[in-house]
Amino acid sequence: MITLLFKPFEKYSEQKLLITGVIATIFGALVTYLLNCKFIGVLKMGFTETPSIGQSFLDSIIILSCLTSFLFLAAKYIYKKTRLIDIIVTTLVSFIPLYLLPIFNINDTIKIATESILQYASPELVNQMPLDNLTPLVIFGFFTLTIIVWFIALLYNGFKTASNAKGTKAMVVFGIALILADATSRVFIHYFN
Amino acid sequence: MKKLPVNCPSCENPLIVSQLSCLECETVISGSYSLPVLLQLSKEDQDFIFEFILTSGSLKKMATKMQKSYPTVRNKLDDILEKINNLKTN
Repeated sequence: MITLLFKPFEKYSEQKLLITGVIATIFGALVTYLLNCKFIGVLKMGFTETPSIGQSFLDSIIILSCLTSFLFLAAKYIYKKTRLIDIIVTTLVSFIPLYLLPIFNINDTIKIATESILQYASPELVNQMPLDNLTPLVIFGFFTLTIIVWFIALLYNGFKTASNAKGTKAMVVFGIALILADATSRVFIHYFN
Repeated sequence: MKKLPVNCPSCENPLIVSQLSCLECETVISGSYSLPVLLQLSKEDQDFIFEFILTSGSLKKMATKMQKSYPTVRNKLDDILEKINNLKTN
C-alpha cells in the first residue's frame, strides 16, 4: 500500500503510469473547471476565478510542461542516463493528489468562505469575523498541507527513481527545480490568461 | 544455503581463501587465494547478476520478471557496478 501511495515509480511500468497519469490529468482539468478552481502555479491554486474548460486544460499543460522541463534538466544534471518518459510519468502521477483539492469547493464552499472572510480583513473588523466561515477554511488548510506533502513526497520519489539520485545534493537540485518550475509556470499562466 | 562470509567478523578486513578440500578423496590444499570480486558482493547482488545473465542482459525483461519498473532495475545495476568498481579499486 505504501508503495502504491508513495513509491509507484519503483514498481509499475512506464506504460501503466503514463495511462494513469493522462487519465488523471484529463479528470483533474475537468474537475477544476466544474468546481470553479484554477491552478495558478505548480504550488498554487485559487478558487476565486471561474475558468473556461480550455483555460483549465491550458493551465494543466503549462504547469506539467514547466515541471517536467525543470525536473528533467535537474535529473540529467545528476544522472546522464535519465529518460524523459520517467520524468513525464513522475509529474503526471504526482499531480493526482492535488486533483482532490477542488472537491472541497463543491457548491463554491471555499470560494464563499474566503470572500466572506476577506470582508473582515482590516484591523477594525477582524474581531467581528464569524467563526462559521472560518471552520471550512481551517479544515481545507489542514487537508491542503497533507496533500502538498503527499504531492512532494511522490514527486521526489519519482525524481529519485528516474535519476538514481542520492544524498543532499539531489535534494537541493530537486528543490531548486521545483521552485523554478513554480515561478515559471506562474509567469506563463499569467501571460496566457 | 550458508552465506559465504567475505569480511572478518573481528576486524572487518576482507577474508581470503586459505584452505580448499576435496570431499571425495579428502585432499586438502592450503594457500592464500583472494576471493573473486563477484563473490565479495552480497547474496542479493549476486542473484541479481545471475538473473541479468539469464535474461541475456535485458533490463526490460528483468523488470518484468522482478515486477519492478525499468528505472528501479537500471538503478540497481548501476549501484552494483559502483560496488564492483570500489571493490576493484580496493
